Amino acid sequence: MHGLIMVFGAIMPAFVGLGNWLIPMMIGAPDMALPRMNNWSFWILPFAGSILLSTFFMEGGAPAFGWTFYAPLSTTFAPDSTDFFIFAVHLLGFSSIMGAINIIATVLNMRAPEMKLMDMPLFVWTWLITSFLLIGAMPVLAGAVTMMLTDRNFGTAFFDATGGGDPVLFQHIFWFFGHPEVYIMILPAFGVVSHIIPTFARKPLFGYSSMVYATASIAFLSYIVWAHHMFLTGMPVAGELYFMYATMLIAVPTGVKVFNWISTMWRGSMTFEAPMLWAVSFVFLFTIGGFSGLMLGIAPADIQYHDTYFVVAHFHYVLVTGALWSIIAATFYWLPKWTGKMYNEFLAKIHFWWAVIAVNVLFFPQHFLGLAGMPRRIPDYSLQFADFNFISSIGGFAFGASFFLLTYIVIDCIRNGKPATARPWEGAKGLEWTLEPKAQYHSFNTPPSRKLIEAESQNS
Amino acid sequence: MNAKIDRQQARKNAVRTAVIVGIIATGVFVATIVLFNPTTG
Repeated sequence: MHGLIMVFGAIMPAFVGLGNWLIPMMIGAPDMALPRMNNWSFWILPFAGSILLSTFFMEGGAPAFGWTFYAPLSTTFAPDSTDFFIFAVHLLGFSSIMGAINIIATVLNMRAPEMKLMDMPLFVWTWLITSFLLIGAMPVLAGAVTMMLTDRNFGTAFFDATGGGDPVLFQHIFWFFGHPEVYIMILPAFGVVSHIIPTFARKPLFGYSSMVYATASIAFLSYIVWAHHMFLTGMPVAGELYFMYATMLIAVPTGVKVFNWISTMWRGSMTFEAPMLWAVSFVFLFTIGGFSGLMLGIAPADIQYHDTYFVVAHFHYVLVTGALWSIIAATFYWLPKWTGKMYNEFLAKIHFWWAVIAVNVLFFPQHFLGLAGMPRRIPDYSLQFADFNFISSIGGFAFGASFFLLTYIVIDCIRNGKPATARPWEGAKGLEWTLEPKAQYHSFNTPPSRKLIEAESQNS
Repeated sequence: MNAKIDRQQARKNAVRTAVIVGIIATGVFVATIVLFNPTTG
């Protein structure tokens, strides 16, 4: 449940929210293309979330099979509340698909007439590509939970070997959705960081077009590597080799991105306001998560790492210090445009250092726990793991507490912040900064001119 | 000078794009179930 709530209830809605607000401003459109569908997409979320959370109070307890809900744990041996879980996942998927349709329709049809595709800001590019990932991946998840539903209630045997089905098939279908899902959560993060680093390095983004092509390459590769999550299911060696090498290939476009961010900073006139602190630490910490991902992608080594806390450490470095980090970076970066006011920079820096230290205390020891053999998904552990778990718990409480300060900073900004200028960051480029300090609804009623688009383009 | 934009036409195009993408998503959903049905797959 933790994983599901974080994926579908935290990271994805945050990025969809940022996308819905920023994309029209960035492409010179007055608003999103299909507001009613957007409304549906949004209002389904609280209902789906409530259904999911209500399972905690049902007889037999909430679904207890992790966010991967492997069959037969989720079919034959699952509590009754699983049917509510299935309905909630259907609704969450439906909401995501509608959001993705809207972003594709907006970017392809509502762009300022003078804006070519290669003029678009990186955040718009990454969201457009993410939307196509959503369209390809979410219906597969919907298919998987539909098959679960019929296996549980209508006597089918998709995942039941006794009826001619196959439980391993579930894992293939799940990870065909699950791996692109990882990139759904990280590609918009790449977009955010590609805005913040050039701003505070006061240099144009290094390698704009290579960034676009790298994003598209990562999206394509994300569809052909799914079984690296399944090296221990007993697949043929040729299959293991293929999925191992295909996984290694992802390091190439990701490396291009990291290289470009560092090259953008190289000899730049850098300052370290809060958004830049988050963005720089994103590059550093996300790369740690990327490297441990490479380690996990090596088929023979994965036999040792599989289902241990090493995996937990890996994906938390990618998703917390990757996806979540960029959401916090984006919050500080665009907060002046959102509220028309400046946040308290001193408190924001304290919050950053607090969170960045706490998160490493929380997740770094988990690498050691995993390498020592502590398995995932257990309620208790052997005594020799107690010390590192103790350290990790201290980090966890400290990291959780840091969000009280973040909440205070945002509320304080809205209530007491000093008025911001239209372009509060010296090196910021982008059409959104040409609008008034607090962006209004229906931002570009008159489309921006070619001259303005060129002046504000990242590709120049 | 700013380029003119036909909002009505842009909206029609947006709806058309949405319908096409929606059909693709539905196709992926149906294909997943049909392809992996032990009796049809």
